[in-house]
Amino acid sequence: MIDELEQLYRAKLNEFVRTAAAIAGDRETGRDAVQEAFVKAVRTRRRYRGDGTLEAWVWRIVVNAARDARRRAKPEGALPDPGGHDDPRREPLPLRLLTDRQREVLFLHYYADLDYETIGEALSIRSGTVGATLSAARATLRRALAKEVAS
Amino acid sequence: MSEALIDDLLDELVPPVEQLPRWDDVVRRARRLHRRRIGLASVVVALVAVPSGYALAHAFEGTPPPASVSNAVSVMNAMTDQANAYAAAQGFAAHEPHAIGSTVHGVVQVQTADGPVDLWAAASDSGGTCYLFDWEADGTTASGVARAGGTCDERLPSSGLGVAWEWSAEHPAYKVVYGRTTLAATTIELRFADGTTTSLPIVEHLFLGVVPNAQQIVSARALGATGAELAEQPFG
Repeated sequence: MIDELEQLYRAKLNEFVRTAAAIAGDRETGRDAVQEAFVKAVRTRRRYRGDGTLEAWVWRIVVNAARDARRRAKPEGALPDPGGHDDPRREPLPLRLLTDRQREVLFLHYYADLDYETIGEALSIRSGTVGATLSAARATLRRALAKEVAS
Repeated sequence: MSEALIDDLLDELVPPVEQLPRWDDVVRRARRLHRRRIGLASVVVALVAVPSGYALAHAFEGTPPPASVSNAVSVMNAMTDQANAYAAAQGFAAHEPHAIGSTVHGVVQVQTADGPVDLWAAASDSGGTCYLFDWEADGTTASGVARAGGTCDERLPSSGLGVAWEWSAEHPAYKVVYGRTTLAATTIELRFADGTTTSLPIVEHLFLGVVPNAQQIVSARALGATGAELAEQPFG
């Protein structure tokens, strides 16, 4: 199992870091989250039951680590995010219009090129929901970008 | 055009940069955490006297496993088959043991605010011991498999005392502490950074406890019936 985890780490490190960085707020935090996630995956590998793909199981751990890192990075006493999700980052405005789920689905699809099924396993949602969420996110971004271009 | 703009937006958010692998760091940190494994008491067991702890532990001993735990043992054996096949394909002679399903039984149960944590044991087909634990509240997979983690014939330190702990996102307030000893010990004593201690009963050479995640464990000692120290595992 450790060999498989190492193989996955080496093969997809760029995708893991990019996605985790997008969720966590910056590249350094994302990279730390990936390291932390793989430490946990190695330690708890016996809890992988084989009822989904190993990659999806690892992605779930990486996403959780990145979410935790984002929460830790939120400044104490920070005002609520206008987009509705507590987000310490300075993101382009269109991305701030998305919900947390929309953002995570978008990042996993775009940065990691994961299929709907794997994204669904990683986020514990159905693959049909992944497709609908991704469509909604794209539509929101398209509208926001069109306004930016027009203005 | 807007799809291209979305691509640009995401590229701008996190530009693609080649990352240098640091797998050694992963392994080193995972091992360091492993060394910090400790025999810890459960919150409940920590709050009761040792005799009551014994009573709680032995009350569960011998309990037949539910189907979900038996299924977990079957899955564990299937994964062992895969590991053995992989090792053989790589030219290694190593052969991991299997748990004998008919011998699975309860050993220790710990009550927590998140529900019971159960420790199950079975004989291994190489003459050793397999054990696994699960949070009952975690339920089962869609195919009816308990979300349990376990091992067979784990190699113990030369002291004869092996202690481990695990934290999971599902139960963030706790650490589950478990382990095995080959010594004639009756109790595992845990010492925390704040100077307090707690005791875990040893049943069938195994022990299980759940402690607050915030507790920092300093050491674990295996004690004999007279209270004499038989082994100590420091943590730090």
